[in-house]
Amino acid sequence: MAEPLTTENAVPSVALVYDELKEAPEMGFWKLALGRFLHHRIATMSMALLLLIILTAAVAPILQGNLYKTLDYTHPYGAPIHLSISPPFLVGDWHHPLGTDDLGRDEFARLARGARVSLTIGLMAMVGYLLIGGTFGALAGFYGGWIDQVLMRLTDIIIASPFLLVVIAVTAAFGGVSLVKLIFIIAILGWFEIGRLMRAQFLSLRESEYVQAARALGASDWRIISRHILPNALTPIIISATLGISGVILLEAALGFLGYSIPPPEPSWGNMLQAFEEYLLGNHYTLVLFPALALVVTALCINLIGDGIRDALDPRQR
Amino acid sequence: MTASRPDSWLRRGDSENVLSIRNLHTHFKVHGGVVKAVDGVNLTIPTGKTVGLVGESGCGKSITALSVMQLLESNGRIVAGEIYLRDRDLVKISEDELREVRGNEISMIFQEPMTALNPVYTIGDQIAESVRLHEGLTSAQANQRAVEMLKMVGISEPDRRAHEYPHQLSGGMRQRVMIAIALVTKPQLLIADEPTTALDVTIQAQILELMRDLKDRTGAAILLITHDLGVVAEMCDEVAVMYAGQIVEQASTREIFASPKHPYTQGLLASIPKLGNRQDRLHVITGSVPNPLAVPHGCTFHPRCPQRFEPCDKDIPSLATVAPGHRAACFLYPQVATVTPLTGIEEPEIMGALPGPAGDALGGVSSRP
Repeated sequence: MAEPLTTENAVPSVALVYDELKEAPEMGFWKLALGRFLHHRIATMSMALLLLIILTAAVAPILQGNLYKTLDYTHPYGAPIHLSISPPFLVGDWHHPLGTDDLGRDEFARLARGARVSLTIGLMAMVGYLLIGGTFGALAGFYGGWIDQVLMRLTDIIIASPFLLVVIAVTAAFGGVSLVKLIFIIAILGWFEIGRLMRAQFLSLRESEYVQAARALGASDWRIISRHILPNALTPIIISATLGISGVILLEAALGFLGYSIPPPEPSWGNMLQAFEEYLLGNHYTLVLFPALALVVTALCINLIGDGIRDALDPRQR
Repeated sequence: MTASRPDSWLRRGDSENVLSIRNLHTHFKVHGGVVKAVDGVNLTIPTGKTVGLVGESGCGKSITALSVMQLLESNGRIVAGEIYLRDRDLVKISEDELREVRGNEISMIFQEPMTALNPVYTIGDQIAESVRLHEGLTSAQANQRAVEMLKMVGISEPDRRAHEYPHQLSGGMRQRVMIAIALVTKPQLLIADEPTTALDVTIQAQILELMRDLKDRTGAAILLITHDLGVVAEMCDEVAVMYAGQIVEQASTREIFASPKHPYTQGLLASIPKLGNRQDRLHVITGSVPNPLAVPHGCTFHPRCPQRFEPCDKDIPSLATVAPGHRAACFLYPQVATVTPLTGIEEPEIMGALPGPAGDALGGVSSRP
């Protein structure tokens, strides 16, 4: 015989739905977006992996000290730990878990230190893009006129030129490379995409009725730009900036591969690739494989996070 | 420049009228010429009264309102005329002073409540912004005012609603929020540009009722821009009828509906269908609104006017008092004189230093380091 229906035993889902309904109006845009992002499985996994990479890059070099440039002539070309079919199954030198390079330097320590270069450049150059491109694009979109002309023509020029060659030429002109210089050069040459996106956002939003309404309230230009348009323009900028970081990291790797990034003995993923490219088909292929894998995994993680952010911020695009 | 026989109502700023617009000309430079969107408008808004500005689409109603606020697009410009708010000419004051007037002494309600609120801020924030901008209150005080204002415009649970975002509200509630934003600074004049056009009829009635109620409580005058004569009959103390950039008639609402003087107004009123009258065809005013780039000479209405005669296609009629409290611009009335057309004015350019926000901004940026 069926039990009498009460709110306790019968329809827990109704109570649940009711709770959700009660909660819904309290949620702001960013809270909702965070919720959507956390439900995006691939993006959260990528986020976890990227955080692990960042943590390694931050902590490992501190613990290992000079290991990345310590030459160990007794163990050149040390093999990484690998599987074996007979006991003890995991074979290798536990002092060098990923093996050593031609000079006996620890590969893991070098990868971890190289990650600092890649991630720092990726992040800081993007900050530069946002500062330069964001400001320029916002002013161009809001005011139009000469500032807009300058932005658009500069963009045309940069788009029409081979970007890598321009970066190399500017780098050469500045006489050698350092981390800070590289960040500045990349930031100054690469902000156009963000700038154009910002311009397009401001161009359309400045015509919106709520901007007109803000003007009618007596808001100043600065207030309209910073308080009324910018927050509404942010969504595509955040997405593009996230995706752009992986682009910068790959650009740095390409520069390193061509020998125009951080000079040895300081390792970067790019110059590690360059140093051992001839081993790709030989016995010591892991010396190329590991930095390449590190690059691909990092860039992939960032792109997947970017996708997750896009789905979270703009569910209609899914 | 003005009518050869200026009436007493044309005097400069005074205490009777919140706003007096004198011979306002607002022109736009467009591809293919100059559009004289507002071409010699004379309009007064008495203190605490509601004045309806009616006319067809494109006759210059909204541009008149935007001229008062000086929020014209960068290709538009006030080329002549005066706009007195009490005794200050808004055309002559600086951009900084204008910002103090906007939202503080003159507020505006827009047509589309769905898009005129910023989607990223709570409605409480948006009401509070208005007072913070002009009265320098702390955010706690401003938020308190916002909640009071929400209560005043009839939104239930104002404490909770203040923390909601525009997308959580219905169209009618958003328009109430717009009204709250406009009135929170206790302006002398509220400009409402078709405030009920985007709402359905029952909500329209509620919003109009609310505006009337708040007008009585705050003493703000209202310039109500609409093409709905029903709304005018319900709301307005006075009506100004606009045609092709000019005011052709202004009088009390009762006067306009009882004895319209201008043939255009007569035509407009005749074309309202009457409930209960079986009618196969509605009355129409023959012809169509003139091309804004080629407005007819003389009285702009003469090609469509059933009563046109000798001077109509040559001379421009002035807006003159034709009956007590009743002004019309039509040569049918002997009081109406001829207006000398405006000459020697500088037409607006698309680029360059223009008045209004965009033009000023353009100049402002180049001077910044």
